Order: sequence, then structure tokens, then C-alpha cells
Amino acid sequence: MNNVYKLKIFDFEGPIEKLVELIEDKKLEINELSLAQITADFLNYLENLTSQIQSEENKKQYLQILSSFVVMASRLIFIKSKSLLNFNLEKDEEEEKAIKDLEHRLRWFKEFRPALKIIKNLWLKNIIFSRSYLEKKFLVSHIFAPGNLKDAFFAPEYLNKIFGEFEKILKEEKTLAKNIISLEEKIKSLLAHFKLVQETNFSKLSENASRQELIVTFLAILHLAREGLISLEQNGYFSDIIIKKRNHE
Amino acid sequence: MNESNKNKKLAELEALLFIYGEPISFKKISEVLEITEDDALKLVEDFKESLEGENRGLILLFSEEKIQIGTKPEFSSILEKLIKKEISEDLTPASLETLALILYFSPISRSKIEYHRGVDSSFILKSLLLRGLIERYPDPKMPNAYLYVPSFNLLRHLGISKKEDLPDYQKFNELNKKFEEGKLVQEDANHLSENIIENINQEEQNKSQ
Repeated sequence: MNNVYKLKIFDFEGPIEKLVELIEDKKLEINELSLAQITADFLNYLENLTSQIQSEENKKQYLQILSSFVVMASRLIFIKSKSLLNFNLEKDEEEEKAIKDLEHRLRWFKEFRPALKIIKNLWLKNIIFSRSYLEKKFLVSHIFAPGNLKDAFFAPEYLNKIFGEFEKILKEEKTLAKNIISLEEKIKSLLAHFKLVQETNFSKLSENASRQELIVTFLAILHLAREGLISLEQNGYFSDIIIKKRNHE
Repeated sequence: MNESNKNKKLAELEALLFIYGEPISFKKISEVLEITEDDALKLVEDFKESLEGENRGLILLFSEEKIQIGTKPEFSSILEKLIKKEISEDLTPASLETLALILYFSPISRSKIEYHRGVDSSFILKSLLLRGLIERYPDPKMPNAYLYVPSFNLLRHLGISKKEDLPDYQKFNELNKKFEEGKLVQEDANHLSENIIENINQEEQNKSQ
């Protein structure tokens, strides 16, 4: 029961906080020189993370997170190599800007860092208790039977909300599936159609079509007309579009 | 509202908050109690004051146009005595970074959180949403983007009635404003962080006494 609501998530300090920590450990100011000095430490940290991720079950999903660290590491190596080589590397304005931006972010985070300690100190020290709406609680406890209060702590009153979110996601997936009618497919099917018929009209083509399909059909017709494969005729505003196949001599 | 009507409505509000338990919007309060939203605001303010006395054990929480009733943070140990168990669950480094940003600078976008942390934060945000510690709503200025705010659940875990009650809330927001304007003078910053660290140390001393 204890693990019912637990979501396992691989978790570590972000690159910015880690850099601020490394710089502060060495009692350095935030500038290019100190960034060069802590490059090796940051690379160690990255290596450590990578080996931890290797042992994780779903390591693929962490690659996105890891990539931010790799970008940061490459920037540090660039800074380091600049400081080691005693001549000016070709000026790369974009890279210079990125380094300035990085310093700016590090200064910001250094000032903000005490806030993390404040939150850590407050966390679960003096909890304010309240309870969920009786009816909902009744429902939830009958379906999910939360174990002790510690497990239930994070969940019952939010379960409804979570299920609401899931429903939204499920619905979204449905519409996405319907959406997929590619223009290319439509054009192909129209070309096949015109092998059989000489003339048709838009309402016939879009019979029973969904809104999305209607739009794709319309785009496909415009495309074919531009290519000179069909001609379009409309005898009045909002009247049906007559589509004729153009025969090339 | 005259005096006797007001007292009646105050009592009704107390009963409503007790029954409902969960966060409730001012709009809903005004509908249920059949008063205007303005009156609901005033009523809640009066009720909040009436709870401030030492002989009261309850407190009101505020966030995003909603309120909730809860027990005052100083009585948190009562529950631990009841269940004879200490409640503990550590905050991981990524949670701590993300929650601190959301608490001090909400409503805040994912891109801003990622800018300050320097790392993709979609997983940690999802995890915090699932644990009910944060909430999000669509950004009115940006389609397909969300703004993240602390949940009542989070406020209760921290024992604060609203996010503005966090220590140094104003200071960090001023600091952030300066940074965004790109005007932060290094001296200012040093001074500021010294002050903040001093405050923390002071608090820790008070606690250990």
C-alpha cells in the first residue's frame, strides 16, 4: 500500500544551481575565470549523473534532461579552452552573448538560493490541516482505499482533479487521431477519383466529411487547380463548386 | 448589510467553509450565501480577523481568488499525536528549486522556470502537479502555454496562509524585478543576500531555543 501513489522520478539539482554551488564552495566570484576553474568539477558531476541514469529503468526519458547538462558542459569547456590558450579565439558574438547571459543567470540564482533554504525549513514543520469535501472523500475512499494518512496526504482531494486532467488528455488524443488526414493522401485519392470521372462537384466530394476533412479536400482541390490538372467553376456566391478534369493534349 | 444580518452571514460563512472543506472561490461563496461578491470579500476579511484571536484554532488560506479553512500551523503536532507518527517526506533538489521559483514568482511559466534552473523541467512539473503541490492554468497571453501557481496543499504543507507570507517575499520580488530590468548593482545584491542569510540564521536560533 505504501507505494500506491508514489511516482518515481529521477531527481537532481539543475545545472544553474550546481554551478552556483561549485563556485560558492571555492569562494569565487561569478565571472568567466571562475567558470573555467570549476569546469572539471562540473564534468565530474555530469559523469556521475550519466552513470546513475545508466542504471535507471526508463533512461530514455532522462535524455532530454541530460542534454541541458551537456550543453552547459560544452559551454564551460569552451570557456576553459579560451582561458588556457593565451591568444584570442575568433570572436563568436553569439557565444560571447551566451556567456554573459550565463553569468547573469548565475548571479540571479546566487541571490535567490536562500529561498530554497527557507522553503526547506518550512516544509512539513507546521502543517495546516484541512479536509476534503465529505461527499468526494466518501467516494474516493471507497474506490481507492488509501492506506494511512501519510499516503493519503498527497492524494484524495486531488484525485478528482488528476482524473479530470487524464480525461482531458484522453479527449485530446481522440481529436488528434481524427485530425490526421494528410493533404498528400487526399490529393492522391482525388487523382485516382478523376481517372474514373470527368466532372464532379465539391459537395459530392465532401459528403459526410468531417470539418477537418472538408478543409483538406478544399486545399487539395486548390492544389490540383494550381497544377492545371483540374478546372474550377462557381456560378454564384456560396453555390457549389464544379470541378472538371482538364485533359492535356 | 446591517449588523445582525452580517453576524448571521458570518456564521453561515463559517458553516459553509466547514462543510465544503476544500478551496472555494469568492464567486461560489457569494452564490451560496446570496450576497454580492464585494460583500463576500468583506465578509471573508471580517471572518479572517475573527480567527486571529489566541482562543481560535483555525486559519484562512488564500490563493488565486479562492479561500480554504484549516487548522493553525502551530497545532500541527496535534495530528501527529493522534496518529502517533511523524509526518516526513523530503523534498528532492529539483522539487525544491522548482517549488521555490513557483512560490516566490507565481504565476510563472515553464520557460521561465527552465531559464532559471538551466534544465528541461517538464518531468518535475508533471510530478509536482500529480502530487498536488502546484496547479496550472492556460496563460491568457500565450496560447499553448501554462502558468504555474502554488496549490493550497502546498501552502498547508509549509504552514503559510498565503504565498505573500513567505519570509522575504517582497525582497526576492524586488530582486527579481531589478534583475529583469538588468539593473542589479553587485553591492546591492551582496547587501541583500547578507540580510536574508542573517534572517535565516536568526530564525534557526529562535527555533533551537
